Amino acid sequence: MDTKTNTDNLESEILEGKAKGGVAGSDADIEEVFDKSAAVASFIREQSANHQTTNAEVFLEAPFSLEVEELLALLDELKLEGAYKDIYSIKGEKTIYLFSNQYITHNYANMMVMVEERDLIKLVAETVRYESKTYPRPTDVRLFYRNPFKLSVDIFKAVLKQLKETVDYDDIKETKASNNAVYLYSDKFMDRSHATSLAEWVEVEADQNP
Amino acid sequence: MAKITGWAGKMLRVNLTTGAISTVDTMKYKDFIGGAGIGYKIIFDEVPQGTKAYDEANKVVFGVGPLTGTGAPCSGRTNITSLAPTNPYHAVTDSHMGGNFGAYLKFAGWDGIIVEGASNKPVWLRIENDKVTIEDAAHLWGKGTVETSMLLNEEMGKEACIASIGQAGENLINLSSIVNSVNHSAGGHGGILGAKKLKAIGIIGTQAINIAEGKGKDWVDLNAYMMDEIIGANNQHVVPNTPQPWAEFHDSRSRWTAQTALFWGAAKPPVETGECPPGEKNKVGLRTQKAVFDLGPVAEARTIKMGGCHSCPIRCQSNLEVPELEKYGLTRYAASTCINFSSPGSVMLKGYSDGDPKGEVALITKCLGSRLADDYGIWSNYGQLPRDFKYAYTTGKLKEALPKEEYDSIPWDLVESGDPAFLLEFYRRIALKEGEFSHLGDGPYWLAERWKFDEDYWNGNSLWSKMAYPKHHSNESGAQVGVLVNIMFNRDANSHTHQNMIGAGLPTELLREISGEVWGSPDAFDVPQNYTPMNEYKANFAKWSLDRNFLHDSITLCNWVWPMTVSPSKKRNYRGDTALEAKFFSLATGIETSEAELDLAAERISTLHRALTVKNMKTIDMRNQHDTIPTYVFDVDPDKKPFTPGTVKMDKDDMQLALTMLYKAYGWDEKTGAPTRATLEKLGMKDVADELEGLKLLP
Ligand code: SF4
Repeated sequence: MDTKTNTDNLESEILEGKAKGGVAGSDADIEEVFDKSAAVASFIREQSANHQTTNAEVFLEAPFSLEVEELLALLDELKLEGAYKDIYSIKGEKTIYLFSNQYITHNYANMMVMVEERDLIKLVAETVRYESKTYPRPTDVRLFYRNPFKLSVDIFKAVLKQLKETVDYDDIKETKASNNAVYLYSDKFMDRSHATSLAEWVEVEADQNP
Repeated sequence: MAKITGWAGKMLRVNLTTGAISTVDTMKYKDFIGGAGIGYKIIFDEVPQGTKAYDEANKVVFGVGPLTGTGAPCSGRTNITSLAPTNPYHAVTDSHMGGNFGAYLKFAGWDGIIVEGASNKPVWLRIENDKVTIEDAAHLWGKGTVETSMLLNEEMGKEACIASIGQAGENLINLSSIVNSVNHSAGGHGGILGAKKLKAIGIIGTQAINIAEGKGKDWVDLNAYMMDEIIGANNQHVVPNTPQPWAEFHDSRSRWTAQTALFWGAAKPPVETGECPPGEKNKVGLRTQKAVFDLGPVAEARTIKMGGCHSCPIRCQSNLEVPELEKYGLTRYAASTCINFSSPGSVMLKGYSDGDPKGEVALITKCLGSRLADDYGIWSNYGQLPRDFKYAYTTGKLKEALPKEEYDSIPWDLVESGDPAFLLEFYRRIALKEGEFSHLGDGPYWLAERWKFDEDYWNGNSLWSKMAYPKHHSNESGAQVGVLVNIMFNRDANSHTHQNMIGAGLPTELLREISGEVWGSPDAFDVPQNYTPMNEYKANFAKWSLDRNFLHDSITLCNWVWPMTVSPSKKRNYRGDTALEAKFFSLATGIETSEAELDLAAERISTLHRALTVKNMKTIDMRNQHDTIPTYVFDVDPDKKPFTPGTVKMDKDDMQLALTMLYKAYGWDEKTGAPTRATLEKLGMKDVADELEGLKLLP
């Protein structure tokens, strides 16, 4: 969806929200906060429905034109309001990303933010750590060629080379199944022998035991 | 008397020796539910000890259950029970087929068909509701299952469902199957129909199946609840196989393959599976694009649709367009799933001509092989047939066993070049019983004796035991749990209960939490490839897996999807609903039954299966004679120890303890593993105990 349509919808929703406030005849200041919250949440939901996270900086620009302090206050307010309990934020390096968990799960949003931030070494390392810790399982490197990562084979290879040289990520290790498929794991969370046997199971043995 | 619902209320008894056709009251067997349960009871009661599979005294029970044909999700399975010719003791086994046969049998007003005696000339059984006749099958004998179906559909009309044997069954090949609707095959009992000269059964059923009075709305609501919140994809995998915005988790081994830009590419117009999140019940049937799962990305463009069994929303059978098959004298259409695709690929000992195991040649080979096997009615014994071929070939035993002329007549150049045409030779020679080569179809036990395989044959090749079957989700699946599931049957363990849970795709900690709720402690569930010593909760998990499998084969539901231990629903925190079988059973039959009560009925069926095995084997020493574990399970990974990360190497003492714990959980004799009188009586089977006592087979 292009931004213009979003913005058009947003404007109409702002207008709609004000109109409703007017009918209720409530205090103008409260009404304005309400409207902005509704508009911001609505924008985030629309973006999320289209499988995009929302960079909070967008709200500093027209038609929202919020001040930074105002935006931060509003985001805090969203957290407290029951009507917006689907709106979550993830802190990136330089900005905040927002999404609605009606459309995007927290885990997927995390992946999207890492892609958005273009710190590809961190993206690979953190994804591998997450999988080694959570499932636990070694990560099939083909994962990074798919949505939402969509790295090319060449880029991934270059990233992996750099990752292997980065001290902060020296827990990330590589193993191979007997068909040569490459898997990564974090030795903070998985034993090498465990990672290798799981890779072998997925790549070779599971196919023989359908 | 209250109206019978769920069940049709009667079974058909057909005596092929006398031509007598009679009716049996299903309700006297209702404690055994249906399908496998009733099958075991009839075989136990009516087939004398010492009977062999092809003897006239053996019987075949085609059984369905109170849910078959009702429209409950995945309830279109038929269970076939008889003595198994592959088993060294001719002990009882089940074979299972999907398609529409089971539902049509119910629509015709029958809960089962008991086939007994033997005809002296080829016949087929014609069932049109209550009208049942034994017909001459001279014109069908010698034909494959596809042509048999076509001919009988011409006679009965296309609304008939036809199950038949191919040439393999006619020729008493042990590894033969019964096939309905071209690709729904049940493995292991085809030769028994051949021995009875029963070529086919054709059914037209036009009657309704009733559920309990006044429960229609509850039924619809229960169905909607299951479809919206509980059901996942094939094997009840509950996460997609790629990261997707709606999904918290993903797993590359998941059969939930649906995703954006993945198609049924040969549909006109092509159908995109898209993402199919929970709550969208009309997309459940798109979740499992099984063709790409089984055959790789090359299958996408050839997929016409996903097919499946009666009232199954999952649909795991790939329907493909493969014009290359015409070159081999077949139609361009292929349909199959899982092992039926992979098994023919393994026959190609030297691989495929293009060297790619997921390439076009592999796809053509697998489709060709699956069509030939189903048409001839050959059963792969869960992929063991090609492994036996490989063993015999690579050890030189095949060359030793075959007369030189016969060996030289085999077109080995096709094997060397990876040409799929080799499969024409492979399957034909077996099905038509051509020469010594055809003994590959005897099954592992008889083949090993005949071709003098060395002892090492039994300690590898994926074989499980001298009961002549391969491992099937054994120690690699839940360690002790998988082993216990694998020792129980007289064929490969067709139980997916434990494997579905292990492969569901959720993080282990979550699965452990759910295990705690179902089997008493999270310790029932191990981190895959990093298992712990045996405990009573694993025994509960194993017993539950077995009992649900026996229940599904009796009620009938598809154990490739059921039970619903987990769900894809985040709002349920991925909890499934293990009481769903009992809820559907209660609504169908009008007999209010709790989950625990239905589990007790399942335990009765498991124990009856055990009692029947004791009777067939003429020994109570199940622990040493039946429940054997191959030594490779204990010898694998020589540099690793049991209970360490990265191995499923088992410990001998621990596994003996596991057997004891399982026997204890069942109330069987802890020394021998045979059912005791007390347990049989507790389960309402005093008559079984009396019979075993008379045979001196009670511990
Ligand atoms: S999952 Fe597959 S085998 Fe099971 S009922 Fe459905 S189509 Fe048939």
